[in-house]
Amino acid sequence: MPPRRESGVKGKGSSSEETDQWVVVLPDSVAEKQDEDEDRPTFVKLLHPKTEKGAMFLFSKDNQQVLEVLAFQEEFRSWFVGESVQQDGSLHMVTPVDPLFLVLPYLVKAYESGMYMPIDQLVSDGQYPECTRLLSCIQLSDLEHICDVKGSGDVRACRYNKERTLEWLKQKVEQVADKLTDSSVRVTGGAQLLTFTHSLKSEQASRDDYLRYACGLVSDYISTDLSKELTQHMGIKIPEKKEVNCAEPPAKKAKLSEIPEATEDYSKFAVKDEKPKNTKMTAAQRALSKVDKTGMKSIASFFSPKTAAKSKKK
Amino acid sequence: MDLCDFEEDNTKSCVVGSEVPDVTKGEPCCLGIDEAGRGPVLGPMVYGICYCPLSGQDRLKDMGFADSKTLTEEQREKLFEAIAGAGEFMGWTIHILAPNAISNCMLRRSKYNLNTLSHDTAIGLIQRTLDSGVNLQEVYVDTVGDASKYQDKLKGIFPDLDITVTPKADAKFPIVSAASICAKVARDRAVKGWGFFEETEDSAISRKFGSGYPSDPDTKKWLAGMVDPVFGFPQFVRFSWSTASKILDDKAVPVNWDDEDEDEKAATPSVLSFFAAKGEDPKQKKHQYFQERFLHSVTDFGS
Amino acid sequence: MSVEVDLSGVSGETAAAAKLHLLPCEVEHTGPAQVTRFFTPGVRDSGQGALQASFRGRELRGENVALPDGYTGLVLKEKHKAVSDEEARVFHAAQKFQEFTYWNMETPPSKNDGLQKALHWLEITKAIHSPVDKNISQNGSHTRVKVEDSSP
Repeated sequence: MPPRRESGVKGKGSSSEETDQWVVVLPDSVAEKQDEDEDRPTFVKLLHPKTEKGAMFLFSKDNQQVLEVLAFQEEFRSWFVGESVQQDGSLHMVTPVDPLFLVLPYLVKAYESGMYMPIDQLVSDGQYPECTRLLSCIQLSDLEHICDVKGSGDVRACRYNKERTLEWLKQKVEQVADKLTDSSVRVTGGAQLLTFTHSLKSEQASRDDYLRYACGLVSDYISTDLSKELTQHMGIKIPEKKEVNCAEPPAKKAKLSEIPEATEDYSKFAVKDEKPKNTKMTAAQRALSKVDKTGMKSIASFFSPKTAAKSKKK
Repeated sequence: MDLCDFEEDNTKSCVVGSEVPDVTKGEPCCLGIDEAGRGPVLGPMVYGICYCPLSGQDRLKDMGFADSKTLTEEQREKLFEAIAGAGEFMGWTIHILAPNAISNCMLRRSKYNLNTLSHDTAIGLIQRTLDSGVNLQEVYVDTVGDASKYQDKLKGIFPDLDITVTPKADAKFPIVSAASICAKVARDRAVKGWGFFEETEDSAISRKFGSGYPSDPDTKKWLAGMVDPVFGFPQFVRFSWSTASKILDDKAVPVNWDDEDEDEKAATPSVLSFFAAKGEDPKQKKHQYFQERFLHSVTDFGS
Repeated sequence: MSVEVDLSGVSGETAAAAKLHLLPCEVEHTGPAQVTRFFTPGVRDSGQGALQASFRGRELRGENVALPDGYTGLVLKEKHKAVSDEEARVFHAAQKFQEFTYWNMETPPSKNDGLQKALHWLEITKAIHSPVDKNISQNGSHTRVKVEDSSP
C-alpha cells in the first residue's frame, strides 16, 4: 500500500455550491429537538488550550455542556448523502470536553498577578468573547480541582493552584490509562460494539506504557509547559526521541509505519526526490498503463490513435 | 440456452452449461474453447466450450461447423440449435464474464489483465469439465497473442491432456467452431436482452449502441450520450477500455483514487515530514493517536 | 463567529433518515448525484454483512457501520451564506442517521481501517473529559478509577 499523504488542502473541483453541508456525529442529548423558546446549540470559536489558537466548539442548547469538534479526514474520501455527492469526505465528531481544560489557560495567565479574582473576571477574552459561556458549564466544586477558592456565597474569588491542577491531571491520566486498558479487555470479551475493536492491549504493554500514552492524550488539552510538569509530576519517563514518546504502546508499533513520521533523516527525502518524476498522465493513460498489454494485439488495434482522436470530439 | 441466471444479476459473471452426455463420460473426448466479445467496450465477454467423443468428429463436420466469423447471426443460432439437439453426444458450457467483472478486474490495484482473465476462465472451464466426469483427451484452444506460451501454461496445469493452442482454431477444428458458436450466441443474446438496472421510468436507456466495438460510430455516439457526470456509465460499459475512460476524462467529473500517481505521491510525505521536522510547532502537533486516525481539530466551518 | 444549529428539521418521527455512503475515492464534485439509479442497485450482500459494489468500474468492498450507542448522526446544511460578519450563520439539520455504509477499495473493511479506529475516539474521549472522582484522588493510591460509561 502506498504511504498515505497527510490530508491537507486539496484542489477544489467543480461544485454547484448550492449548499454547504457537513456530516456530523454528536451525542443524542445534544441532537434532541429544542423547544421553540430555547436557545439553539451553537458552534463558537474558543481558545484551544494546547494550540493557543482558535478552534471550533459547540455549546449545547442550555449552555450546560461544551463539546469539541474533530474531523475524521482521510485522504481520498467523499460522501454520497442521499441523492447527492459531497466532495469533502470528512466525518465530524462532536464530543464533550471537560470545560476546566478550556478555562485553565485564563487562570494560569492571571496567576502572574498573584491575586484572587472573581471567576467571571478571570474568564473573559476579547478575541474569543464566547468563552464566558464556559462558566455555565462549570460547577464551583469542579473549580477546586484547579484553583484555590476564597469567599462564600456569590462572592467567590479564585486563584490558580498548580499542585491541585497537576493532581487533577494525574487522575485524568490514570482514568485514560484505565480506559485504554479496558477497551482491549472488552474486545477479547467479545463486546457488542463492533466499532470498538481496536486493541491497545498486549502482553508487553505495561502500566507505564499506558500511563505514558494516556499522558500524551491528556496533553492535547493543556499547554506544552504544563504537559512537561505533568510528566515530571507523574514520574513518567520520556524516551529520548520524541516520536517514541508519541507512539502507541508496543503492541501497536508496527502500525506506525503507516504514518510518515517526522524525522531528521534527510536521506529519505533525498532518495525519494531522485525518483524520476513522471510527467502527469491522463486518467486514460493511467488506466492503460495499469494493464499488462502483452499479447493483446487484437485489442490494441481498437485503441489506434485514429479511433481515440475521433472519440474525443466534444 | 438459458441465460436467466445471468439476466437475474448481470453485474456478476455466470456459468451456464448443458447436461453432460453419458457417452462423453466413457469414450475419449475432444474439447474446443473459444471466446466472444473480447474487443467490444460494451457487454460481457463469453467463453464457450464444446466437447464430444473423438469418434464423433466426422458427425461434427457434417453438421456444418465452419469459421464462425463467416456465419451470420441466424446461421449461428441455427447451428446452436443443432448443438443443443445433439445433446446425446455433445455437451457445452459457457462462462459469461460480466462487463462489470471485467472492469473490476482490469482496474484492480494489483494489475490483472484481460489475458490472465481469459486464461483463468479457460482453465476453469477445462477443470469444470474434468470434474463433471468427461473423459477428456484432446483440447483445442483458440487464442490471440502468444500461442506457445499459453499452450505451455495449460500443459503445466493439465499434463495429462493433449493440448493444442493456435490462432484461428475455430476455422481449423470443428469442435472449436462449435465452442465459438456457443460463445457468440450467448454474447449476442446477453447483449440483446441486457437489462439495465440503471434504467428507470423517468430515464430510458437507448439500445442504439451498435456493435459495441470502439470503432463503431453508433457505439461511440451512444457512449458519449450516456455519460453521467458522477457515475460515468451504466455497468454495461467496460470502464477499463480506453475508449470509455477517455470519454469520462472529457465529460465526467474527476475521481481520484489512492493508487493513482503513485510516484508523485510517494515523494510527497517525505517532503511534508522534511518541513515538519524543521519547523513544526509542537503546540500545533496533535498526539500520534489522532494522527493515526486521521483526526484533525476543526478550526472553522469554511466552505 | 458563531453558528447556530437549527434542529427543527430532524425532530420527531418524521425526521428523514439519510442514506450515506463513505467512498474510498475523492469525487471532485459537490451536488446532486443519481445514487439510487446508478449505485445502490449494484450493491450486493456477499454474506454476513459484507457488501460489494462498483463505482466508475472499480470494485468496492464495504459494510454498514452503526454509530455507537448514545450518538446521533446529522447532515447539517447552510442554506444561504451570511452576507456580513454580523449576520449569524445557521446550520440546518436536514437529515438524521444512525448508520452509514463504509467502503474500501477492493479490500474488505477491517478494524485497522482509519474510520474504525477513528470511531474508537467516541469512547476514549469520555475517559479524558469525564470529571475525576475527587475522593479517590485524596488518598493518592493507584486504585483503579472506574470510568463511568455514562451517555455523554
